[in-house]
Amino acid sequence: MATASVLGVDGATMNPARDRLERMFLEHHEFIWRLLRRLGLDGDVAADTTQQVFLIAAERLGDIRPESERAFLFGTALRLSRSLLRRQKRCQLEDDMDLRQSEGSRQEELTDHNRAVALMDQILAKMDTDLVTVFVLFELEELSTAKISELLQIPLGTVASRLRRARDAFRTQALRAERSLRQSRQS
Amino acid sequence: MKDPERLLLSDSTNFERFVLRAARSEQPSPSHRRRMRRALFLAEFAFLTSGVKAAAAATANHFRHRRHHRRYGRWFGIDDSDA
Repeated sequence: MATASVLGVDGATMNPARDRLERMFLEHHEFIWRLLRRLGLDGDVAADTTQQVFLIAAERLGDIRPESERAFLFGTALRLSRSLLRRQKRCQLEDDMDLRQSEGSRQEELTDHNRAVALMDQILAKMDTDLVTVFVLFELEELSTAKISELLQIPLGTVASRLRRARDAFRTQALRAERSLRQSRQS
Repeated sequence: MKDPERLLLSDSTNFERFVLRAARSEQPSPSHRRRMRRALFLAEFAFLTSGVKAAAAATANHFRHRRHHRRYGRWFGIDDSDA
């Protein structure tokens, strides 16, 4: 994608608001999309929701303080994902996220990378959302705990304790997933 | 307070590294980028016609459907050739 103009219009624009929005898009859209994916939305839904996040940002551009664009986008994404996931949960049929069940035919078609991403999604789906958020921001997006505290508007000590619990939960679930994977390969 | 070292760099297992690396490098698809371009086009439309922002958001929803893509895409002069 050309970085000169997301909108495909050549040359400098006369609209500072649009330039700002474009800058926000270039700097943050992948972060927002990945965050939504790790919070449990599938690829298409994450894409739609990312779009919605930026449309909300476009509508409220005047209210977003300079230097707090990322925080605004992050907060909006988090709110939208929570509401979507709540709705999904209400509609969800019995799904025990059995790895053996999802292995088999479908997994064979996936590349190693896609399989790893799918496994990560299954691991995170079994963790508490608050823990997942901190875990994703720290371990995957490599934000500092201070930055996470600022984004989530929670004390630094809470970030540290959630991170500890998130890591424990991640390791437990990863171990289970690995064992389950081995069993399914043996059988 | 010093941040702990990232799991990927510390004592994680091979399996943990396998899933962590993949999740870190996952990127949106090209079609996602195209959709985002359209969304931003609509945002610009909202700026130009300030006061009808809700209409722009509604139009964005319409854009998700191929039928409307074809109809309004041409109307707004969106180059859809890469879609």
